[in-house]
Amino acid sequence: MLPLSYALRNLGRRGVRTALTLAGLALVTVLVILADGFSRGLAHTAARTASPDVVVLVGAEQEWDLVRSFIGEGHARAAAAGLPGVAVLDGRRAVSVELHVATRRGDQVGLLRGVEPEAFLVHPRVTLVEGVEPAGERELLAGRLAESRMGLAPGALAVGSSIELEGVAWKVVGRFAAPGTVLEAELWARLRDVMAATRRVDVSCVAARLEDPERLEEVAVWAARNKVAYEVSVKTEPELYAGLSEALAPVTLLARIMAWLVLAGGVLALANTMFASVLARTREMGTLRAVGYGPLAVGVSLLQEALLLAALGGLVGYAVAGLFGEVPMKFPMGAFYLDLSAPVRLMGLGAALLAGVLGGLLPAWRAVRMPLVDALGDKL
Amino acid sequence: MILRPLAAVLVLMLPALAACGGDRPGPGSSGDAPPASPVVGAASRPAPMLAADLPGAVPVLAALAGKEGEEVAVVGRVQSKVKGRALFHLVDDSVEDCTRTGEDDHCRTPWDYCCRIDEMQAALMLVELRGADGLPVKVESLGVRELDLVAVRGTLAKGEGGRLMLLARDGWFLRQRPKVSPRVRFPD
Repeated sequence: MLPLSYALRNLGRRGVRTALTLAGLALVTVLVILADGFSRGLAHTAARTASPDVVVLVGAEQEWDLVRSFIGEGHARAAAAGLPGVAVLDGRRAVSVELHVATRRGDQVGLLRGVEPEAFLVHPRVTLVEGVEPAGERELLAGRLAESRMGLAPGALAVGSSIELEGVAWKVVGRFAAPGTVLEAELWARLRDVMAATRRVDVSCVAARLEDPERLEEVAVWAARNKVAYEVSVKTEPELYAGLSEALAPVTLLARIMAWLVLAGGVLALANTMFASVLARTREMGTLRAVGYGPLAVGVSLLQEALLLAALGGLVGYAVAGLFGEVPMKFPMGAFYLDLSAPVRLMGLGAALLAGVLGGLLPAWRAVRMPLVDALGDKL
Repeated sequence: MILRPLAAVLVLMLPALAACGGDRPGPGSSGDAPPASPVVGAASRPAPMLAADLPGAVPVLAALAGKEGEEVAVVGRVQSKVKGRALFHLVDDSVEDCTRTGEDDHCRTPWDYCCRIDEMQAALMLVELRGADGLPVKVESLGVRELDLVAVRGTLAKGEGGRLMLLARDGWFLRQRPKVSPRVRFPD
């Protein structure tokens, strides 16, 4: 076998071409990482938002869209008080009466959720990261991705800032995180204030965390028995958000297809480079075989070159993608961060190596099949 | 980080390419409220289907006008059910869902009667086959699905909120299963 240093030296001999191919492979790696990070970030947001132990009582007239669901406030409060199987946390029942409002600012739409303090027991992924919970009139808690969802400039919802929603001015008093969920793109305020601002006398839903998901059947029986009395139906969060996953599935699939197409482009670019390398060094390869190196050794050396180039490009792409930090992305029902975690970036590196193998195989095969006499005569 | 906008631009290219292609009292206040918890570990029964139809079964609206304790056979369409339990709602057959009115051939959940919600709510009756514990018995399957025309015999009783419900005596008979669009996806 030819030593690895031979392959390394060959890369150095074609400096500009090597640099251009390396840059191309680095770009391929970054694009594969971004496409996969987009796909995973979106899919995870749809999947992680739903908790199997959270049930939602929705209006009997609109069972799937919380913004369009309505329940009389009195019915909602009576249902919240009677719902069985609710977890008790810190001495309080984890049940929350909520109003979900699609709030507009120009052509942008955000979700304004009117809540009571128990909402934090039902949605424990929501954690205050800055400021305080709304306690005064028209105070607002902004999710970390709310600005992205509403097309606002970064900092527009900083603690202390004001924003007009539903025709009234709100003061941002806190920021919250809800990693990996659509909640992170929402705006939360006191239920009473949201009802007053929107002139609503009904609410959207009653959300409750069960002490055990096994009690779901009991809740379903309770809800069925009270269906007419309270005009509600019960859904689990996974049922409610299944539609979200379904709606986003084509987009995530498209992003994955894009990643594969980009990867295919990388394979072709590398194969082109390696073919050019074979053609430029036909006589040299013939000489190597004349002094005793077998066709396989020459082919393997070419494959090593391709892999080295791909690994270098992949490492550069891996490093560059690591510099992006948190990249917010918006979609109609929310917003999410690109998943640029180490496993996703490693996948990008793996894609670059795959490009190296696939892009190097054909040129290596050609080198193996090259007749010695023709190679020495540089006739290929 | 200066690279962040670059990443956003690159990712935004993906969708762009895609574009080419009352306040009533709580339920606990009801006098005959059932026990709070279902029986754990009780074995599920097969679907309690009757082999013969129930002649003389009355529509749901007629049954809702009956009296508590009255023995009656009722016929109506299944509006909703609870998976694994012998409990469902029947709606009077005079209330037409959108598959029968032809108003919306794209509807995937015609049993929600979304076009006639008030009418449906007024013509809705809860049916339960209860066990000794006062809860609907566990069943492997109800044997019927939404929109099926079903006849049930049993005793009228007061349910939550004082509305009449039917305590089924033994089971139910499937009279007719309507043809629906392939778009309709029934719950599990």
